[in-house]
Amino acid sequence: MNWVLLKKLEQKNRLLYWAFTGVIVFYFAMVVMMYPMIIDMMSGENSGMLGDFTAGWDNIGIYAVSLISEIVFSFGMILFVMLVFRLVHKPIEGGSLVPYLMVGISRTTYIKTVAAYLGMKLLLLFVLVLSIGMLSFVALGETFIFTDFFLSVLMAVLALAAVIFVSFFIASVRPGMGLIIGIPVVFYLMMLLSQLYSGIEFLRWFSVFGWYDATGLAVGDGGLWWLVAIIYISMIAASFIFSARIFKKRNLGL
Amino acid sequence: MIEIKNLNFTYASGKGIFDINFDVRVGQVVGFLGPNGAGKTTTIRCILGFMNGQSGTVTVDGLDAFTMAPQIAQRVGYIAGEPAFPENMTGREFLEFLINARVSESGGTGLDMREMTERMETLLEYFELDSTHKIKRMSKGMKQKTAIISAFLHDPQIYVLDEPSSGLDPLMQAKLIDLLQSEKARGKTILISSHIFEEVERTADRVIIIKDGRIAAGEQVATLKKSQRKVYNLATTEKPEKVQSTFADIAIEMSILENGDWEIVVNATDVNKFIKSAAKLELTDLRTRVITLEEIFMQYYAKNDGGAV
Repeated sequence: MNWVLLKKLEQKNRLLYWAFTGVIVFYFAMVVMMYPMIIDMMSGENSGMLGDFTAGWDNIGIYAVSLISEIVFSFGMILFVMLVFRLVHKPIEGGSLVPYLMVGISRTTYIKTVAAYLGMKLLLLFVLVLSIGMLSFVALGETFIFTDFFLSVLMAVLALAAVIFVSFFIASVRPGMGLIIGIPVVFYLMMLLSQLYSGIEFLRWFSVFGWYDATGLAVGDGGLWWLVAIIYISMIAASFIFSARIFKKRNLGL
Repeated sequence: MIEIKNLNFTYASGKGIFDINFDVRVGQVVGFLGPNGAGKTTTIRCILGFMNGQSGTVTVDGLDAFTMAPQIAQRVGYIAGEPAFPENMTGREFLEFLINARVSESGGTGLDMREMTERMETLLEYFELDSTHKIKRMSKGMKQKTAIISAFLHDPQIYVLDEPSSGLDPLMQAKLIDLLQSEKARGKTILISSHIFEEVERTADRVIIIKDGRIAAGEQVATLKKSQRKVYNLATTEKPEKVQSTFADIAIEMSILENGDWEIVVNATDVNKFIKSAAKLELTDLRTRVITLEEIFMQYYAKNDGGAV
């Protein structure tokens, strides 16, 4: 990893990162403020496409669903796909990778540095969402179970990271941007479709986002969440390792 | 310093470079000429390790160009044909970033940060570049100057320059040529690809001409000039018909210039015949015109293309 490059990547993408993170935090705060109204809207006759998910749930359940379907996955996915595009696809296809390579930064170092940057930003997102969530609960005097909330946020960020590193892998090994954007979007749509009604719930197995039981996890019954977590971590590691190996040998039209 | 042996790289379209062989020795300046699509950039990509030939070898300073690219980058100054820069940086921020990154990767070899910064200031002044502007707002000429300075920053032993004067005004082109000549005098090795023949002619010891992905010629500039066609300007009182009939067997081209003189182009192998034929005429003047590199280049491209380039 090259620290000079890492610092430059951070400076270059600071505005984009904080703009999206700001939206995520703002949205999160809004959900908290509107918590009583959401409970009312989503109960009984007003239950929407997501179903009557307040039945038997506490505020953690609301958070889990809003986290997964709206905040971390959607905004986070857009943010990190944009970062992958800016840090991997565009420098390779546009030629701005040349100055980095010509100062002696190896391809492997470049890929490692970008992966480290993405990893740090995902970790920061995790910390921010966790902190803002906990602060919001405390501020509103809500009760919550730390472990359940922690695991909900952790799994959401891990799922996002797994999808983003698949995009990262694609951007590293082949030209064209269709799959870089397309694969995360397909995963996201599959997850949304699987929530429409129980007949197509199986679609969630086709989406990386849907491999763990988010709502169950939120109420302390996540099943084999740890196994899914291992799969996500394995996906991230495999994507990174193969990205570095293939990128090192790839012919670059710079 | 740069050695290419039997290099092949074929794109899916069937185009590419085929059986490329040449070297650039220490202290040599070699011009690399060819039109767009001839294979210059592909060859340069292989030299810099961006691409790996499907067969053959490329070494720079004895190191394999593909596997040892980061080590080679420490010794090479490169100007891309179409320089691209990271976004949202001023010229100065970009150059300072390159200095910092280079120092972080150099492992203590080469110039230190202070020396590179001094060199940057000297080059900024030399090329009269205001580096406080954002690069994306710079004119093409300013971007090109930034790319040139970035290649010269670390005082490398080897330069690989792809159209280095592209976008520069004539004054700056002349300054670049002066700089290249001074680097040549310092014993630097330079491979320069250019469409500006004067630039190559004034700096290069040797020229390599690439055509359709194959090396068409690789000679000393002086040898090329001697071995190619000769151009003679002659003034005579003879009638045009007689002049034409005298040189009909040996002249490749014959024309009357604005001042009434004749310009006659013959093959270098026919010089003797030309002199003997010319002696049969009443001449008032006979001069040899120096053939330019551009004309030599055009000859190579005219050979198999029915005269069209």
